[in-house]
Order: sequence, then C-alpha cells, then structure tokens
Amino acid sequence: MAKDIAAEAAVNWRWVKLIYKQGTLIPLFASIIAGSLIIAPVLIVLSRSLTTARLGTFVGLTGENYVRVFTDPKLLPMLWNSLIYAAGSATIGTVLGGLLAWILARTNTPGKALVELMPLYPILMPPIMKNIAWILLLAPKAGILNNLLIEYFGVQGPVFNAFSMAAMIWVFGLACVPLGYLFLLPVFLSFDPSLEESAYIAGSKPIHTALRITFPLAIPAFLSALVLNFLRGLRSFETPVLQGSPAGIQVFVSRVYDAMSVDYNPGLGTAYSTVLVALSILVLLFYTRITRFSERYATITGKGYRVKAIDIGKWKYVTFLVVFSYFLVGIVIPFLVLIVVSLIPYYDFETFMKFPANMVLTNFYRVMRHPSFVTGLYNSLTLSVTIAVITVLMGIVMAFTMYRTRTYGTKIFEFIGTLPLAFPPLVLSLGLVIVFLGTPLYNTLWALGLGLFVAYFPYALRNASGSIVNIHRELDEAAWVHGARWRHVFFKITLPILKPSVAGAFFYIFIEAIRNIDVAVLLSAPGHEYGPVTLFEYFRVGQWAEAAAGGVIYLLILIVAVSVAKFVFQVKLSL
Amino acid sequence: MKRNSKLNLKGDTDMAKRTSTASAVLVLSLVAFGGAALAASAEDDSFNKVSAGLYEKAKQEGSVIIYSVWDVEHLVKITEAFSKRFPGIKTSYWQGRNPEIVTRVVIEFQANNPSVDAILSDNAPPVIRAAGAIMPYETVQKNLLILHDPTMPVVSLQIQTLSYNTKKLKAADAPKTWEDVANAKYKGMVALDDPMRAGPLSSMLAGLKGLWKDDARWTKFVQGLKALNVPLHKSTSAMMRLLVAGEYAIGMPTLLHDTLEEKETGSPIDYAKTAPPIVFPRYAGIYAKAPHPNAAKLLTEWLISIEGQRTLDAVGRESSRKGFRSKASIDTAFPKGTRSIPVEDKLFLEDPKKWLDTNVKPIWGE
Amino acid sequence: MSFEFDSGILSVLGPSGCGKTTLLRCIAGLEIPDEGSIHIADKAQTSISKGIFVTPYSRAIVFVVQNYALWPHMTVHHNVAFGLKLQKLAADEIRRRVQSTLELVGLRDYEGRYPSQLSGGQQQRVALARSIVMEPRLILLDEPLSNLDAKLREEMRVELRKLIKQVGISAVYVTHDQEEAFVISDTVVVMDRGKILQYAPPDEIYNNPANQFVASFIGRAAVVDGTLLRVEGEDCFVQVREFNNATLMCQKPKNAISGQDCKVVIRTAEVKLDSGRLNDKGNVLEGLMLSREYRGGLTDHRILVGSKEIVVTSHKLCPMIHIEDGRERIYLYIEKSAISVIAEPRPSTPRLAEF
Repeated sequence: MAKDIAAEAAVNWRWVKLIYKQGTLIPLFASIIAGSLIIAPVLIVLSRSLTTARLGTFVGLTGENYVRVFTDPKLLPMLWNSLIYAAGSATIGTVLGGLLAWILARTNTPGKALVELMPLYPILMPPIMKNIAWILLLAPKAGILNNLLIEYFGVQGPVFNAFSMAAMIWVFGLACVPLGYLFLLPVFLSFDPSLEESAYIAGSKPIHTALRITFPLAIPAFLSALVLNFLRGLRSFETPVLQGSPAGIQVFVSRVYDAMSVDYNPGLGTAYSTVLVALSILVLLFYTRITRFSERYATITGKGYRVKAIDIGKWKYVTFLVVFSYFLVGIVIPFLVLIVVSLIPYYDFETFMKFPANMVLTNFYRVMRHPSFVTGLYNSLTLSVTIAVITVLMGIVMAFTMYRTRTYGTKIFEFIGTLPLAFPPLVLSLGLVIVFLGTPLYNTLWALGLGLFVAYFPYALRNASGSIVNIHRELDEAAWVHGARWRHVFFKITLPILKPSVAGAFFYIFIEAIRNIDVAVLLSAPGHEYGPVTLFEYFRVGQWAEAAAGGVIYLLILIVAVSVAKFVFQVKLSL
Repeated sequence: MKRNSKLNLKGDTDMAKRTSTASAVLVLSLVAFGGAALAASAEDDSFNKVSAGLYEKAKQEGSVIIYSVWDVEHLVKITEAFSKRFPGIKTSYWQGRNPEIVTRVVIEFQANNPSVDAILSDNAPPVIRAAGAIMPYETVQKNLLILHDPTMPVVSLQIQTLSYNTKKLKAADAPKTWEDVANAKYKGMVALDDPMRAGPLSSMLAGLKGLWKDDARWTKFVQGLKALNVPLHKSTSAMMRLLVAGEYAIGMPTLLHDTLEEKETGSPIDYAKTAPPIVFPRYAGIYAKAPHPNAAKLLTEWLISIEGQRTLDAVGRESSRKGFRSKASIDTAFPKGTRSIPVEDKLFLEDPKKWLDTNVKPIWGE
Repeated sequence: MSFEFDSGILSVLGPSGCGKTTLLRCIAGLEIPDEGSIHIADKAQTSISKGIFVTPYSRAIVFVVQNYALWPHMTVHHNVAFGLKLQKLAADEIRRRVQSTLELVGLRDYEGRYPSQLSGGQQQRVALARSIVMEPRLILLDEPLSNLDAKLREEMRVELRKLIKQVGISAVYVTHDQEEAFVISDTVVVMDRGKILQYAPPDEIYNNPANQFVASFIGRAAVVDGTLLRVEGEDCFVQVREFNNATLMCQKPKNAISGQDCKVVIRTAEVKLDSGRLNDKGNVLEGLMLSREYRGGLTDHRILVGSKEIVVTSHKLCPMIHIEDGRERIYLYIEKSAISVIAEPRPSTPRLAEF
C-alpha cells in the first residue's frame, strides 16, 4: 500500500509521541544530561589537542600536536607493549574472575566461601600495593621468593623477575580479577539450571556443559568486564612505572605522562590520548557487535526456576584447587608480605626473616596520628558512598535507555559512557577543570562529586549494560501492560532483579572512589578535606610501610562496619 | 661565623634592578660553611620589620590559599604554626603533584581565576613563572638564603646525595664522587633515576653541567652512566626502597632527608659525604592573580624566618637558610668546606623537556 | 489486514513466524504497526494516520506470554497484586481481589511462594491470575500453553476456556496448534505471512476452509486440483486429474460455476479404508498401499491414489491388516462431508474486508 504524504508526516511524529507516551522521556533525558556531562570534558580536551601548545597557550587551529604524535618513532613499539600488557592482564584477570564466579555460583566446590568476599578484597590491595607486594616477592636479588629458593632449595640464581613483562601482566592481571568476578557472578547466580540440566541428561560432562552452555550465555557480561579491564590496562601507569621502566619496557601511556609532566604540554598529552580513544572505540565496536542480539543472552526469563549448585563430581577437587590457589596467591601471600613489611623497621630479606622478633609499631602510630585520619575518612566515606549510589543508578538508567526503550541511536551512549576510561587521569582531570572553571560549581564539593561521577561512570555503565541484557524483555513488558510506567518498571522490576550486579558495581566504585583520586585531584578544593587526598597519599608518595599499615587499619574498620551492617542492621551482604 | 664565604654569581646590586622584571634569572648564593648566628639575629629584625606591616594588610585579606606538592602531614603542621603565629588569617591548602599543580594553576590563570595565593613546590613554580602566572616577589631576607631567586623566595631545599647499601658495599668500596658511579666496576649494582623524566637525576645532570662548564667531561659522565646499562626508575621512593632492600647497592640520586630518615630507623644505608650535594630550590611562588597577596608574602617571609625554618625542620624539611642547624642541613650532614652544587639552568627549570632534548637525549637516546 | 471482533474468545491461528505475536503486541501497544489503526470500543488506541497512540499502561489490556513473564523477585501475591497497587487501590481491596482471583485459579495456598517454587502449570495460572485480577477490557494470550507437557496442555485448555468465560472478559488467543484454537475459541482467525486468510467460527473453518492453506493447516488433509464438472442441487461433481480422473461427489461451494477449476480438500481423518470394494453409493477411490507407520493407537497409511500420495490415519484394528505393502490395492471411502471444494479464483469471505 502506497504511503501518502500524511502517513509520512505521521511517521516523524510517531517517534516523538512514542518516546513521550511510553514515559521513556525521563530516562532518555537523564541519559542525555549524563552523557553531555561525560562528553563535555572529552570534547574539551580533544579540541585543545588541536589548539594549544606548551603550558596551555592558545595557538589557533593546528595539527602540530598530531604531527608530533604520528612522527614519534617509538609510537608503534610502545603501543605494542601496551597492547600485550593490557590484553594479557585483562584476559588473565577476567577469565580467572569469571571462573571463580562460576565456581562460586554453579558448583558444589568445597571452600568456595574463600572467594565470597571478593568485592571487599580490593580495599586491602589497591593496585599500587599489589605492585609493591609483588616487587618484594619477585625482585631478582632482594625478592623473598628468589631468596627462599636460593637459600632453602639450592636453586642457582634468581628464578623470578619482578621487572619483566610477564610479572607486569601477572600483577595487573590479579588486579583485574575482582571486576571479572563482580560482573559475572550475577549472571551465573541467575542462571536457569534447566538450560544446563538438559545438557547433563544428554550425557554431557559438567565442564563441557559449562563450556558449551553456561559460558556462552555469560558473554555480554564477560566482554563488558574484559573491555573495562583492557581499557584500565591501556591507561594504567603504576605497574609500567614500577615494574616496567627498570626493565626498559615503555608503554604508550608514559608518552602522555611525559607530555603532561616533562613537557607540560596538555595539547600534546591529549593528542597522544586520542590514540587510546581510537583504540577504545574499536574495542567497544567489537563489543556492541558481539552483543547486538541481546535477546539471545536473556538468562533471567519470566519462567520461574530454582537456582542451584550442580554436583560436578571429581571436578570439584580441581575447582577447589583453583579457589584455594587464588585465595593464597592473589590475596593472602601479598597481603601478609605487606603486613610484615609494615611491622619491621625496614625491608630486606634478612630483616624480613627475623620477623616477628624485630617487630615495631611505628608505622601504625604514624598512620593513626595522621592529621586527617578521622576527618578524611568521614568525608571520603560520605562522598564515596553518595557517588557510588548515584553513578550506579545512572549507569542502569543509561543501560535501560539503550536496551529497554526504542529510541534510535541510543547505542551511542555505550561509547560516550565508556570514553572517560580512555583518558589517562590527568588528561581527563584537565577537561573536567575546564568544564567547571568559571561556573559557581568550581572549587565546591559538587564539582568534585561530578568529576568522580564522570571518572567512574564507565564501570557503572559497563556493568549495567552487561547485565541488563540478561533480563528478558518480557518481564518489562508484562509490567507495562499491567499499568506500569517507566519509573515503576525501573524501580520495581529492573532494579530489584539487577540487585546482585548493582551491589557488585556499587562496592567496586565505592572502593575505587574512596582510595583513588587521580582523576578528581584537580577538582578538590583547597580546604575541603577529601579523604583519599590525605589518606591514600601514602600510596601516591610510595610510603610502602605506612600504606600497608593504613591498609590493615582500614581492613579492620571495614570488618567492623560490615559486621555492624550484618548483625545490627540485618543487611544481607551476600550477592 | 667563621668563614662566611658568599659566592654570589651576580652582584646583589644587580639583583635589585632585576627583581622588577619577570625574566627571573635564578641567582644563587652558596654557602660552604657558616653558622652566621650574628647575621641571623640581624636579619630576624628585617623579618620582624616587614612582617608587622604585612600582617596588618594580611589581616584585612583574612586568609591565604596554598597549593603544594608537600605531604599533607607537613602542610597541616606548617599552616597550624602559621595561624598560631598570625591569628586572624585562615589557611587552606590543596595538595597535588607537580604536573597537577602546573596544570591547575596555568588553567586557572588563563581563566582569570583568583584561586590561589602561594605555591609551595620545587619543579612547578619555575614552569608556572614561564607561563607568566607568578607575581615576582623578592624576599627581604635574601641575604640569608643559600639559594636565592629574585622572583620567588626559596623556602627550603631539595638536597641530593649519593647513597649506597652498607650490606652490599663497604664504605671503602663505595663511590666517592658522582663521577665514580660511572665506573664500569659498579655495573649491575647501580640503579638510576630515569634521566629523561625531569626527575632528580636530570636536575643533577643540569647542576653538574653548570658547575663543570666542561661539556666533554659532562658528556663522558653521561655516556659512562649509559654504558652501565642499569635499571631506570621513574619513582624515587621505589628506587630508595629497593636500595634499602638490597636489590641495588647504589642509588643515584637519593634525597638527603630520606637517607637520614632511613639511617635513623636502622636501614643499611649510608651516603658518600665526599660527593658534594646537589641543591634544588623549593620555592614559595606567589600567584599572579593572588586574591591575598600580602598574606602570601607574609607566609613566605615567615617560612624563611627562624621560626618558620624550625617548623619546616620539625616535619623533616631541609632548611634554605644559611647557617641554620638542623638534621637535614648541608652544614650538619657534610664535612666542612663541602661546596653544594646548585641547579641554576634557566632552560632546565622552565622547560625541562627542551633542555633534556638538547643535552641528554643526543647521548642517552630515549 | 483488518478484522473486527465483538466479544468472547478469538483465536489467532497460524504457523510460527506468521505475525501472530506481532499482531498481539500491536494490540497491546508494545509495538507500533507501520500503518493502520487499532480501535477498542470504537476508540482509537493506535492510529498512524490520526497520530494516536495510547500507551500500553493505559489501554487496560493485559498480555499473558509463553514464558509467563512472572517477576522472579516477587511472591505469587506480589506478582498478582502488582497492577492493582499501581492503581492505588486500598490494601483491603487489593488483598480481597488477589485472594479471590487466586482462589479462582486454584492457587489460594500458594500466595507466599516465589515463582521458582511452582510447577509450570502453576506458574501459568499465576500469570493468568495476574492478568485477570486487573479486570481488563481484553486479555491477550500468546501461546500460553506451549511450555507445558502434552497432558497438562490438554487439561489446561479446557480449564482456560472455562476460566475466561467465568470471568467474562474477551480474549485474543494466539496459537499454532489448531486443536487448541478450536477447543478454546468462539472465533478463529487463520493467518499467514501477516495476512488474514479466514475469519470464522471453528466449525466453519473446519468444514469450509477458505483456501488451500487454511485447509492444510487446520488438520490432516489432502489437497488436489480439480475441475467442477456439474452442479446438482446442493451437490456437485468434481473430476480430479491426479486421481486418474476419478469423479468425486461433494457439497456445492458457494458461487460454484460448472467447468471452473477448483481445489479439493479431503479431510483424511474422515476417510474409511477397506481392503475390498464394497457396494457403496458414496465416493470410492482405489489406491496402492505403500507403507504403514504405527503411532500408538493410530496408524498412518501411505497410499498412492492415481499419481498422488496421501496419508490416511485410522485406528489400528482395520480390516486391511493383511494387505501387503507396495503390492496390494486398497479402497478409500469418502463421505461428501469430508470434502471441501474451494472454487478458484475464490473471492474473500464476506467478513474479510480489504483495508
């Protein structure tokens, strides 16, 4: 039937009306506002890469920064190092995290409770502390493991080298595990066992079933975590600085840092960052391409089913070994090393082996006496909690807009929302300062909060968009026809069903925000004591022993807080 | 007191003329030795004189905002002592790393934002000054300073030493001078700060180049270091930890107050007293659009005064005042007659990248 | 396509992928058609030309889907009460209505359970209760029984019809199972590729399929080309080329014209088989037994009649048990009521109007 002109006009009208009538205008607008806030600093720094030279001087439109980037003879070798490092660690970390999540959620492995508290471990082990612990363990001459092997096992010469690409990948890979775990656990927990059972009945072994049935359905969440970890690796600087540069391994992001801190040329720094932006976009294109048939991954359907662990027979000894090794190697050993280091006067192998005869508590006294130990903690707790809640909620709203409303083009938010992660912190921070400078928000807690929001939004978004596709659309639609508007669907259906992944993302962002201020550092106002600036300063200035002592104290506080939440307020903490 | 050998590179009279210009040539007065208690008390009067006037104006302004690279622990103690001495002036601070300070101040300056008064840092102020964002101010106590810059008072010093691990090297085997480190016998024992990152080693190289004024000698030294083919660190503190741990026998360079602190806790660390210390200024720069310039000047003058220097010493910061006796001062830590080596290369201070590209990169590569 | 529907239960029948579900989703407002309009009680709900779109949450139409779409984080009670709560009804009222509805579906004792603690049939009934409790203008059911096992499915369809009639709501029921459609509905729409093929009560569809597709879809039938030889009163005679030009006596289709080409639909379930030729006034065809497949109580006979192979299903104990496959003759007795003649080209059924 031929369409007349009136019908054509009606088509244009239709979308407007549809968006409005379905009530999706609110999430769409919210997403557009959040998206603009996120894209603003990105666009600002990108435009500055074309217009500014050293010390931010305006030089008119010029491609000179880019000429310098692309004529850099070390561009490719450095990029290659970065790719190996980021891909290697993201793969190890995400696969291991996912495996642990599967073991915990789907199997009857003994002792799996050891990894149950995974979301809490990162607070013990900020990435830089992991580097320190592993340097102490693996350093060729002074490292604990090499010395133990030489002294007690008669090995000739060092076996491990903390200053190598392999060690870099290993350490950052371990730092990638919690994210993989947090993203995949909800998928496995909400998995319809009938999908697996039919395979068992057909005679498939549990591990084969996992490989053929369970893991493919977890692809969106897995890729979400992988993409995040990969981007984190690309821009991560601590590991390359501490473990790479002594070995002469230079990564791409060090060019950005040199441009910012040796050359003092933010335009050039940004021009270098655009290479990372391009890589991020490529990676995201790959992600959206693979997950484009989102219905295929809906594991949470409206069909009721009982989630239960499956008896995997003899394999449970293997999985136990995995859990136990991770617990030991990933958590216990490095943390013990740090604790001991915080309790001895100084570290070398000889002194280390004398522990506990030579125990001193000076580092603990020093941390406790830190002028902003209490106020800083309070400020950073309130701010981190607030930011984590808002960021996680907005992440879900944006994912909801992308995957649950029918407005065209909303997939662009996948890119916008993930872009902040492509910029090294100082570059993003610069963009944020320019956004807020000149507004009344500058030098207020609001600007700092919004800055943290932008910095951590990618985590919230990747988490939400990876898990919202696991919920079958029917559940939303059933609510629509039963009289629900978007807010009812969002708050009564989507949010409660997403609770496990929401909780995971919340924990992650909270812990990141409380201890890592690199992105927001330029936005914190003089006089506003914001915890991380003061407390985690030890990490920044490399006071290992004090940092370890701080970690121990915070662990104790956390244990108290968790216990109070659990026993006094009856908060259910298991995911 | 005994031998107050002033080593002015430029005459003081010259100086006064130059202060008004922002071109800011770093002028250094070096003291090899000297208690100068007499001079100190005399100059304290000059501080008292100027501080009364400044305090009146500063009270009108009511507060002072500091950007600093120093530890928060130190900043808290310093601002507390200042507020106690000068009631009615509120202090607040923001702590960031040097590139963060430069980025923030330059951006704020370009946006005409009266955001900060005083910038306490080492590397950042000269770079900020190059962007025109520093209000030149010459301290009235200039005659008392080991290093003097007519546009930015030097309130403390970064003192670099040549440290070694005493379990790995006997004092007799340790290098005696900076140049000794380049000796091939130390191959496999040394760790260096990355000379291409505008960190301590590049300051040292800039200092030695200015001191020796002998390009062949300097080039040979850099080539010798390069030939060692040793691990390069981008983190001073990590290198120090690994030196203590025995991963390396020699670390170049290390900071005097780190070394002394380690010695105090019993770490197997010592430093070559025969290698003259490299001194790098820690400035208090006043921001060109400072909303409270008088309070900033008062803070600066106070930091140089005996009382201010004592406060700095109490938190472990090195004195910039001649003859001031403290743990981490050249006078106490080095034998009589030691000549410290100043870092005075203007290009290095204001555009380290360009200096490195011109001087170090051709020898070192990347 | 276009159709109107008054009240009662309407089934939409068609093969999978024919657009049935899309039709329901358009009615519910979950999807927007490219063009056209949907009216309920003469009020436009969706009208592309007039620019009207009533949101799904204000249509008072409920939708029961194949996978039940029960919210896994809510108990049975909360699932059922969800819509009522959104209407801001008093708590008492909600409780009363939820309980009486659960009573109706026989799940009064399961109020506090979660969907995962219920069997498939129970979940199905919760989904139904959740919709009925809303007292909607219309209930849409999208293959609601397809996830149940065969036995339960047969029970549930009777129960479902009873329930819908008891509550007195109109329903649109989508299925690809013609038996289910016939049992449940008052009227059936047969659809294929987004087009309506026939719209009629079940018996009319069965006895008088509008075309070949409907005929073959609604039950086991052999469809052959024929030529209408002549009309005698209410009867007519059709010659079938494929059956060696045998002539069959059939009920006269409307508008039958002699000499016209037509389709002949033989409902094979009504064909009787015998090994011998009996004296019978009805239609008798001779065929060759090709093979037999035993299916529990029934047997499928593959018989070659002329050049056409047809499958006749009969009870196991039939007289031609001794016939040897591939060699012996068999006779097919076909009542004229088992044959429908579809004259070609056939105009649309009166109720099928062009939109």
